[in-house]
Amino acid sequence: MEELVLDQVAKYYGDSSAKAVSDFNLNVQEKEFIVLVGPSGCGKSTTLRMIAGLEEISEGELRIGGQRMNDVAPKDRDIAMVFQNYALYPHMTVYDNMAFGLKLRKFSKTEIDERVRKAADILGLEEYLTRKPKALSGGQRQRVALGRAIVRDAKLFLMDEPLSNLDAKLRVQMRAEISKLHQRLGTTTVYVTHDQTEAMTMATRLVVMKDGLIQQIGTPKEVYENPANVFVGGFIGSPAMNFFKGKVDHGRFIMGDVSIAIPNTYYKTLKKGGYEGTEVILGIRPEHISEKEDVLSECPESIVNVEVDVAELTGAEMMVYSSIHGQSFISRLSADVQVQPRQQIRLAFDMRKAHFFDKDTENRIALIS
Amino acid sequence: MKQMLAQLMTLFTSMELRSEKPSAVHSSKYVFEYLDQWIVVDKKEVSSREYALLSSLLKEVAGPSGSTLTDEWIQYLKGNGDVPIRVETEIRITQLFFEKPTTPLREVEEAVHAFFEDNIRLLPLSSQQALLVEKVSSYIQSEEDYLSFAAALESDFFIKTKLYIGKFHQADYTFPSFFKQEEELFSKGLTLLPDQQILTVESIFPSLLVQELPDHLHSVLLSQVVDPISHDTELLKTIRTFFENGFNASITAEKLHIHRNTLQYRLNKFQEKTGIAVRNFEGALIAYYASLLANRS
Repeated sequence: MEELVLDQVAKYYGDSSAKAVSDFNLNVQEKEFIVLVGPSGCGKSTTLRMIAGLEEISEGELRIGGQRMNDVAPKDRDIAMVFQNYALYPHMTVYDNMAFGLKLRKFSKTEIDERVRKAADILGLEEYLTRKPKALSGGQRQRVALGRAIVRDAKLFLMDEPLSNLDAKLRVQMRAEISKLHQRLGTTTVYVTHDQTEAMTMATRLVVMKDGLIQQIGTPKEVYENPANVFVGGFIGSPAMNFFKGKVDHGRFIMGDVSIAIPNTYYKTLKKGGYEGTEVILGIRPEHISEKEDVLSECPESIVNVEVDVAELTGAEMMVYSSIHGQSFISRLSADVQVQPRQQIRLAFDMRKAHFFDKDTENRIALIS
Repeated sequence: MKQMLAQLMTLFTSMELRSEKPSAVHSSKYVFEYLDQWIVVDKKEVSSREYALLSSLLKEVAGPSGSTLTDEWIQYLKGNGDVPIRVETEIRITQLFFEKPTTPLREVEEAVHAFFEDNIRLLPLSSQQALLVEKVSSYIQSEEDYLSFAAALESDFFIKTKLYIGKFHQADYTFPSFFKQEEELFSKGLTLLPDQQILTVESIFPSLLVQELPDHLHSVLLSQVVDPISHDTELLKTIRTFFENGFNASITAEKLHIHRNTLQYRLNKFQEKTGIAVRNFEGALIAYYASLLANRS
């Protein structure tokens, strides 16, 4: 597929002051797997539907291969959609479900048969072609829904929460299957989900959205390691990034009677930005807090003594809940650590991995090198 | 089968067997398919039990393309014709609105049949409107089914469809006025809730009520609920989501992507500022109306 471009795209219903999506700018390259992710009501599905032509674009331009698509009928956009609720015809066989869209487009019987069998082969559905959806499992039904999209041989796949109806185990399995399918077919895909794990594991690039606005665009690694703001830091990653309010004071971050050292380079940035003596937000991921001796000795200036509130063994690791000056946080420690509730524990914050955010804008204060 | 047919002919004196599909089906008659023939019988002669038995043994059919029966249905719903179905039957109408003119509806008819089989009949009204007539049966289509149907239309026809799911009601002379009310509700719902795909009386009524409130009652909601929280839209959205999710804190927190404690903090904050207990039914009611009003303005 040629480049898909959303240029200053906005959507509003009636009154232009209440926008469902605003200032949406995105360039999608061929074969990319773009995931729009955010909480419900953030505008991700609306954006997808504007690409499909199912929602009119109130402002801005949608281009495919340089051609303006705003007024092109949805059926002429060469796209295929997959939905959360499968969108299968209960009284048609799997074969007919996959063939129906082609039949409407007046494909010959031979062409339809060829395409349906090829898609069934890709999805492992050959033996289910004569069954009706009711006789299939959730995962198989979703595969048929994918099959209905594949047979179209469209330039662009649009998927709206396609795995939300599946249970957790099947979801993990299907997301791997969709990724494999994307590798095999190479069809440019725009995928919508509210599940950050799904987004992180499937995307070549993420578009994190909130309240109709893009918060950040980047590869999963970029977004995870350098969140643009507090929202992205808290939304991407599980458990979420920990946030602490505190004051910058001569190279140290002060939370009540607890003080930890700010790495020199970051401190210089904060000072330059006029944050000395002011309140900022410290963000640190649970895995960057450690009880290990080697980390404690590496970070002697950022050790805190806290009481364990709750300790949860997840199998591979121990999640420890505690708080500093009334601000609760989670540490992801090794599974063999011996901790009990109300026990005092020493933890080191690896401040080289920490971020600081402006208290008012909640945007990340980017390190000036 | 032949013997059964002979017995039926004895039982129903008006029953006739035709070798050609009837070109027009009058609303006073039932038509059933029997092998390569068609059985036509007067409705007056068939009791509801007999009708249930006949329609379970034989396939009931409409005219050649269903057009005559479609016209009869439309005339009936407009209040200008007889009931084209047994009067004891309960039916409901789901109204479809296609955002853009859609042709040909024949293909949509095929999709309707593939989705609902014979239980639901499509009545095309115009290139943007159609009705689905559903007879009460052992399986009632759910909102989820209709959503899935709308998604199938979007996926195969790229039609953005909005639906109003009506209520079951006796198909008698009172139905047309009942349906007229539903038509009006749908029309208002399309304007009041433009981003909702499925509409029902339950989903439209609160917004409609807020819209119809006189100015002095708007002022009451604003001064008693909205002003004390300084028009904090996030707070209003939080409580609205809380109500719309059946007061379930976990689901609300998940939907808003906030921690349960944050939700509790916001609910407490709302109560502190307004003095309204949102977990109390009356409190919830006024807070919900206020949130709808604030959302509208």
